Amino acid sequence: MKRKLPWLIALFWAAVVLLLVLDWRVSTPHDRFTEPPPLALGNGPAADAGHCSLAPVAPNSR
Amino acid sequence: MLGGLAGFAAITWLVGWRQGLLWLIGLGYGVLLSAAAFGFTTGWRVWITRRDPTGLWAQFVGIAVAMLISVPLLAAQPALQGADGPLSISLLIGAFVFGAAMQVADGCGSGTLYKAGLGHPVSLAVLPAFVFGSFLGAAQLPAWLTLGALPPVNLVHRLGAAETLIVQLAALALLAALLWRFRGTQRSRWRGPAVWWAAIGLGLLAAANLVVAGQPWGIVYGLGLWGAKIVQALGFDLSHNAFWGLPAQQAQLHATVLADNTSVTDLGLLLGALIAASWRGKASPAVSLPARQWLACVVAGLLLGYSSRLAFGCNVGAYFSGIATGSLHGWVWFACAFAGSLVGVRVRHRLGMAD
Repeated sequence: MKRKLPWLIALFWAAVVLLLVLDWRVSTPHDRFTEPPPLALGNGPAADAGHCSLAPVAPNSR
Repeated sequence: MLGGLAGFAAITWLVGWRQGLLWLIGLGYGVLLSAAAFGFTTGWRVWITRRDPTGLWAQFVGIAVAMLISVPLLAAQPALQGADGPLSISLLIGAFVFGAAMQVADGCGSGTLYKAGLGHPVSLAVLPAFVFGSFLGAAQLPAWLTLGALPPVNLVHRLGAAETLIVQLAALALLAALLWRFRGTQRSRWRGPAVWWAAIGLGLLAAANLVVAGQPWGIVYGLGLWGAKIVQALGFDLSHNAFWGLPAQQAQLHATVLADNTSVTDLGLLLGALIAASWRGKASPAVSLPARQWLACVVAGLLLGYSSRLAFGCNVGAYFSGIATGSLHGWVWFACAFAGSLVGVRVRHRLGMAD
C-alpha cells in the first residue's frame, strides 16, 4: 500500500533551512547597503558571476 | 504562503530588493510548474510514445512569450546578458546525455526541482545527485572545452531584433505545424486551459527574470554552486580548480548563496511548487519503485547535473532561455537533447518504468 510521506518533506525543508543558516554564518558578511538597484534593466551590466550558459572564459563574440 | 512572504521579507532585508524580487519570480515559476504539471520531460516523452503534441506546443508558447519581450530588450540594452553558450563538442555530448537521462530520472532541471519541492520521493533522491553532478561538471568543463568550441552566436546581435523574432517564431511555428501533422489520436495528457496559462505565465516570468537579474532564467549554475559550497565546507580547496578557482567563482563561493541570482530563483521555485501542491492536495506523493529503478534514477540525476554543465544549461538555461534570448546554442541543445530523449525513453521502458 502506498502512503503519503509528509515527514519526508518536513525533513527536506528542515535541511534546506539549516544549510541556508550555516551558509549565511560562514560566508563573507553581506553589506546590505551596497546592494545593486532593484532592476538590472537600465543599470549597467549585472554583477552576478553565474549563469549556466556562461563559458569559464568570458565569451566575447556575439 | 506565509513561508513565501517570510522568505521575501527575509531575503529583501538581508540581501536586497533585487534578490527579494527574484525570490518572488522563483515562487511564481514553482507555482506555475506545479499547478499545471508543466513538464518539459513529459512533454517530450508523450510526443515520442503517443504523438501527443500538447506539452511541446505549450513549451513553444512559453518560449515565444519570453522571446517577444526579451529580444527587443536585448537589442535595446546591450548590458543585458542573453543565454549565450558556446557551440562546443561538449554541448553536443552534454545535451544528448541530458536528454536521455532526464527521461530515466523523469525530470529535467526545473522538473526535478519542482517535484523535489513538493516532496516527490524520487526527485528528493535525484536532487542531491544532480547537485553533485553539476558541481563536478562545472569543475571539469574547461577540460571538455579543449575538445573544440566555437564562440557563442546570438542572433539578436547578428541579425537584429525584428529579424531574430521573425526567424525564430517561424521556426517554432513550423515545428508546431509538423507536430500537428503527425499527431496521434489519443486524448491529450493535458486537458483544459491550465497548461496554456502556465506557459504564458512562465514566459512572462522569464522576461521579468531578465529585467530584474540582467540575465535569463537558469537552473543548474545554482545547483553546481550549492555542490561546490558543500565540497568546500568539507575541507576541499577549490581555489586551484580551472572553473571554481576563477576570481568571479571564488567571490561567489565565499558570498552567501542568497546573493546568487540563480540560487534564489531555484529556492523560490522549490517553495512555490510546495505551495501550489499543498493547495491542490498533491504534496508528498507516495511512490513505490523497485531498488533497480531507484538506483537508475539517482545515476541519471548525477548524469543530469554533469551533462547540463557540459551543455551550457538544461532545458531551462539552454533550451527555454537560449532560444528566447536568440542564442544559437539553444537550438543545437534542443536537437541533441531530443535525440537523447529518443534513447532515454527506450532505456526507461527497458527498466520497466511507466510513461
